[in-house]
Amino acid sequence: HTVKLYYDIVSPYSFIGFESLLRYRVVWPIDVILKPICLGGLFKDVGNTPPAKSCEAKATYMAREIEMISRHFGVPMNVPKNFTGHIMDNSTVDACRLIIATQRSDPDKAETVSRQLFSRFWIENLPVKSDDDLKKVRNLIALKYFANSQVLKKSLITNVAEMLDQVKAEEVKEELRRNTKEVQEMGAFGMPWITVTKSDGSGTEQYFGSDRLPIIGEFIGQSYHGPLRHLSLF
Amino acid sequence: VVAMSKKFAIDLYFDVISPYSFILFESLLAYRTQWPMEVNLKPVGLAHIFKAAGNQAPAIAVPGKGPYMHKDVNRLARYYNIPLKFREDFLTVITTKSSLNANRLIAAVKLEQPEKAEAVARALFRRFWIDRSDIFDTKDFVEVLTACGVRDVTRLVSSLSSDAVKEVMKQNTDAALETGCFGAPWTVLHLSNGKRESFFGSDRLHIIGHMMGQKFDGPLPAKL
Repeated sequence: HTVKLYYDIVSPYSFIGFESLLRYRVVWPIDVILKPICLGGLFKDVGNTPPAKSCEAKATYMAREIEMISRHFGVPMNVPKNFTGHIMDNSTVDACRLIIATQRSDPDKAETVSRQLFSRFWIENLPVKSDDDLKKVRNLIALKYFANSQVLKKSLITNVAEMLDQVKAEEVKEELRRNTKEVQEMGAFGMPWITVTKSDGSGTEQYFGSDRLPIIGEFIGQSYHGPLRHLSLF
Repeated sequence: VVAMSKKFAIDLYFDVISPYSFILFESLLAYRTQWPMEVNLKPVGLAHIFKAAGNQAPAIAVPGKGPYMHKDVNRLARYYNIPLKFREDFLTVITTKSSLNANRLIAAVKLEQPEKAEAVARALFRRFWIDRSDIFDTKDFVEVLTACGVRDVTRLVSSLSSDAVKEVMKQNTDAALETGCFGAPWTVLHLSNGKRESFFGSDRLHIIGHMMGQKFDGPLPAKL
């Protein structure tokens, strides 16, 4: 069965959805296709607001819940004290473009790059913005101090400078826009968004959020076996 | 069977107009045979909660959420074996009618005949979400209470705006807001160390169970 995961690094539940869903490749007959999108763009187009920003009680609740739920899945996420500031002031557009650039040149590493970006943003609570000056810097030793170059190197990507250049390439920007438009046209209003198409072509279902794995299992005739923490990579 | 001497107190804050409240109401109560808990039903007026927390009904705040919830609820109905389904006119209902009196009805019954409160809540949920008929007028409430075998139907139905009932609703709403509530359903689990954990929605039974040292094995047959 073909599963598409739409996500943005800025979205905390996307990290939970990403880890929990990918783990299920071990027990369910699914192929997972990663589809990074631009959540800021999606929110704007559908008239939605980040929940943490729209309602203070939601921000308080999410800050507590994210740490609890993520640990249920064996992912040690940390919510910084300034939760709303962390989401609103740190653009992840370049981070998502970096994943797409990786998909285009080194597709097997896109998952690791995503994981590294998620970890940096949601475990270390560090920004994942690209530095515009990087395009001018060819010296790899200088590059090592910049966020995305670290992410690429940890993902065992060797052509770091080339990949960082690709972040600003028109085709990469266009693919991010296309993914975002694709999920918007399906009716998505937030992330993560998961589509499941049965292998016999008998139907497609769409799910919002990171708590529908048991329901997805039912759709494809599989049992839900809990968080599979033993498969956590953390 | 080992007697469960120590039960966890769980406050379940809900509004009958909320589909996910119906799902949690049934799926949580079904686990009373398995988990050591005492569930206290706390009807609230969701409109008051939204206003106080600065929140909005999702279908109104983001139009795209409406169609999604219809589909989501259809799937959850199959998974939980609760045949609930949105009324076609749901958006009109929530913008032109109020579920406050339906929730007050539960509070009124809980005050006088507490052993009937759960049945009345269930009957109201069923009536709106399965039969897809109305729960807004006196005749609706008379039918519900009569079917549940409640005594003093006429007096109870006319007591909905009484100070006593309004006070219960206010206490429930204030208590919910105090624990950080912004929508329904809202679950507050009282832990043995005097602490409390709050949960939003109907998707956290595995966590609620875990905190009581129990396992959630998926939906048990609902009491419908």
